[in-house]
Amino acid sequence: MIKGMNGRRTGRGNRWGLALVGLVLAILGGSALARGLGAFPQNWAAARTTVVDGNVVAFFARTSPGIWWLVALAALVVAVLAVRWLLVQGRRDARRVLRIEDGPTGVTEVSESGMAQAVAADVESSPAVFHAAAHLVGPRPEVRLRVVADESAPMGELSRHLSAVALPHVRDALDRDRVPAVARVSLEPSPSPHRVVR
Amino acid sequence: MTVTVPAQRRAPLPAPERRGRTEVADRVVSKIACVAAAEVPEVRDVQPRGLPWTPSAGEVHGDQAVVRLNVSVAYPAPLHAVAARLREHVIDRVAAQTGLHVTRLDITMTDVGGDLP
Repeated sequence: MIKGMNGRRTGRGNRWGLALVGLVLAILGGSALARGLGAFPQNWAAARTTVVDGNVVAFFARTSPGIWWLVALAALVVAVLAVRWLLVQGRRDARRVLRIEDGPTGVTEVSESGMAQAVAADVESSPAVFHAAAHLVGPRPEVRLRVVADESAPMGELSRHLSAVALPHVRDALDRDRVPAVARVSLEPSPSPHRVVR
Repeated sequence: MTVTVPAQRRAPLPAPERRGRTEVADRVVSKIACVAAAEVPEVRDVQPRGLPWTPSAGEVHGDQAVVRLNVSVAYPAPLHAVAARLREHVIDRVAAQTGLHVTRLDITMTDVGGDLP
């Protein structure tokens, strides 16, 4: 499934978030391991002692109650970030219509899915194409196509159909000189015209 | 003895065309707009697009009206040109039939496809 701009944005956010969480956990785990192996100065953090030793207890006792407010604040920030992350996962392309005109006498919008279906049907009108699916990504419309083509058909026929028929139609319809398009073509053998009897 | 008092003179009536008030309902504007929109050759289907609080595509405010339409347009028609023609035609027809001035016509092309006429 080709996702829109938001899908890509969500994916990038996920990667950064996961990398950050992984980094924090790796640092914490690494330090615990280092402490257990005695890599820290033994008079400060000796191996074979509990993590919450006298020093830690003393630190919290000394800075209480201010430290707990800080801890609460940090927890709140983490919670807010986590909730936001969760909500972002459900984000779909908010822009389901393409605004092609916004004047004092009204706006004109075209549904992205409606337009995409028309483009797909147009691409499918080529005899070399078995199946086509299109996606329109705004606000500057971009066309993403997935085409299943006949592997025995000449490749030129498909590219000619796209560049001379389907894409000019998109440009005419949207009244734009340039509409970027990406087509992903997979080839399949044409279904045998004869029934195979075994 | 009876005294006949002359009958009181009536106040002069306003001109006939100014007697009473004519209100055009939202639904009427909506219907006229839909019919007019369907007359544009590239438009294959028209649906009034109401807002959650009103199912009617037209909204009349005084002598002005706002119309919202969902249309289905043939492909590959130049959508800008179709929208411009549609706007002009609907505004003309509503003005001719109701005298209302359509100040705003929002068009959403929900469906694109089908052959050109």
